[in-house]
Amino acid sequence: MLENEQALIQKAQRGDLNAFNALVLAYQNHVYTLAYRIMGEAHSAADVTQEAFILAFRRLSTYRGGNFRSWLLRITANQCYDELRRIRRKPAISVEELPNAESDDGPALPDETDTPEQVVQQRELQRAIQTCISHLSADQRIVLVMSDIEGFSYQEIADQIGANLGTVKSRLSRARAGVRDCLQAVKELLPPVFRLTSEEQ
Amino acid sequence: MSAERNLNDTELLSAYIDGQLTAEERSALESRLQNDAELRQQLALLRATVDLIRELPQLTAPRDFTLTPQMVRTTGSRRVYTFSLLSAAAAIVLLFVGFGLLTMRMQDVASRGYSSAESNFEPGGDQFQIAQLPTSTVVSTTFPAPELTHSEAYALEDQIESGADLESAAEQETFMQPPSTISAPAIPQLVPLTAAAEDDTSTSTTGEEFAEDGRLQDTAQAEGVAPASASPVEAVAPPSQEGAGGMLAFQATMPPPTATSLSTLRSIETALPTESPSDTPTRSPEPTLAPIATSTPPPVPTAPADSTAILAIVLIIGAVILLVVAVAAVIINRRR
Repeated sequence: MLENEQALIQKAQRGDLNAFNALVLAYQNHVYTLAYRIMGEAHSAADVTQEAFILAFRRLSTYRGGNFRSWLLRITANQCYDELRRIRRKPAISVEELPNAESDDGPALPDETDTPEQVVQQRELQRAIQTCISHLSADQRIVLVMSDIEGFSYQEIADQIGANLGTVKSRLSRARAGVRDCLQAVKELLPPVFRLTSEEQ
Repeated sequence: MSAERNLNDTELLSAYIDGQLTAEERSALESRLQNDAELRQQLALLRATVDLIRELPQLTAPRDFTLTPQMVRTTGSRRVYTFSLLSAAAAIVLLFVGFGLLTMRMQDVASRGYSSAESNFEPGGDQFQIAQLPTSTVVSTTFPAPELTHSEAYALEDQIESGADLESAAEQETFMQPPSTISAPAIPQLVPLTAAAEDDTSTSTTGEEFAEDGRLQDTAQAEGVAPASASPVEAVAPPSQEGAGGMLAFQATMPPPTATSLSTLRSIETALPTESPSDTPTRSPEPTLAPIATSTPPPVPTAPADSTAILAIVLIIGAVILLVVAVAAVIINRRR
């Protein structure tokens, strides 16, 4: 969080674009990550990120204190949802798209102790998880990302998507189960608990 | 274990991971977990999945997403357009109310105008009215303020308290834009009357009527005003008899230039006897050639400066200002 975040917000609320751009720079990785996790690919994620910041600037007057990051991410998630509905794309991402996704994923800083093989495996696992998330329906994806990546509470998500707590709970569990099952395809990359399960099954 | 049961368990386990179960649900699940190895395995697997998702790294934005003024300009645009739309809507309402009031006022003045016409032109009063009545649109169109007669000016002086009022009213008139549509009857009817005025005052019917009235003739000459052109002045009121159509024609005569009307008003102000006739002759034919452009401050001379007329004019001016502001806002916004 920026030290002078509130001051920047207040300036931005008075129309100071430079102040707002300071906030953009502070949060663009966060916003882009959320957008990428939900959208599943870099191009849409960048579009949504840009749109989200534009929308955030326009709606600054509706920000009434509180966690600015959460406020920003809610706008982003909403923007993702609109975009997903707009393009009505199938959740599946083709195998051909995966190589491109590699560079999109950005530098996931590896542990210094990791061997190059481990780094590669880590990358592959992350990509596999992202692919599995992208296979989910839009509704499930948004709930999953907001909960497990951004750490929003059930209630916050319910408010965000305009659903009740039961719906959030149900969608989240289906989304998690979906990713769990999807990951069986790359079980060699997974922690032992997955391999154990697959052996039992 | 049925699929449905599995689904319920998954939901329970998922909520359990997040600490979202009620105390009862949690204790029930925990006691089941103690006795059910498969359920424990399910929990472990789901937890591992959630952990994997949570451990996904934060990405680096592929570029900066800072905003440029162009990106956020639409906000301003939208506001400006909304503002312009509201202004225009308000202007239309004001115009309706303003012209409604003005119409009422004109109808009121119409009766007064006729009585004054009869008293002023007794010798030819009947004929005058006959000549005027059918050509009300014309009359209003050819109503050139500069040619006010002396008697008319006095009447005006009575009605209008101060010249400053007139001046300001005349200035306000400049806001009036001549409507793009001109009422059709106005032009054809205009021709004979103004043609007569051009030819010779003594040959035109109205001219003769005026000639009969010595008093009028004198004043007209003293003021250097062509008698024929004076006739329209008397006919200020008739347009209102035509209702909306009359108002249209009336509006059509709203003067784009103020120079003439201002000079007229000043002449009234100074009681006129020494008014220079220099430009009057050149002005009087104008109605024929460009009737729409004739200078006409209709509400001012006809309607006394009473509250209704003033209110109407203020409303109309307000409407015009709102329209101008709305258009200007859009134009300025586009240029930005």
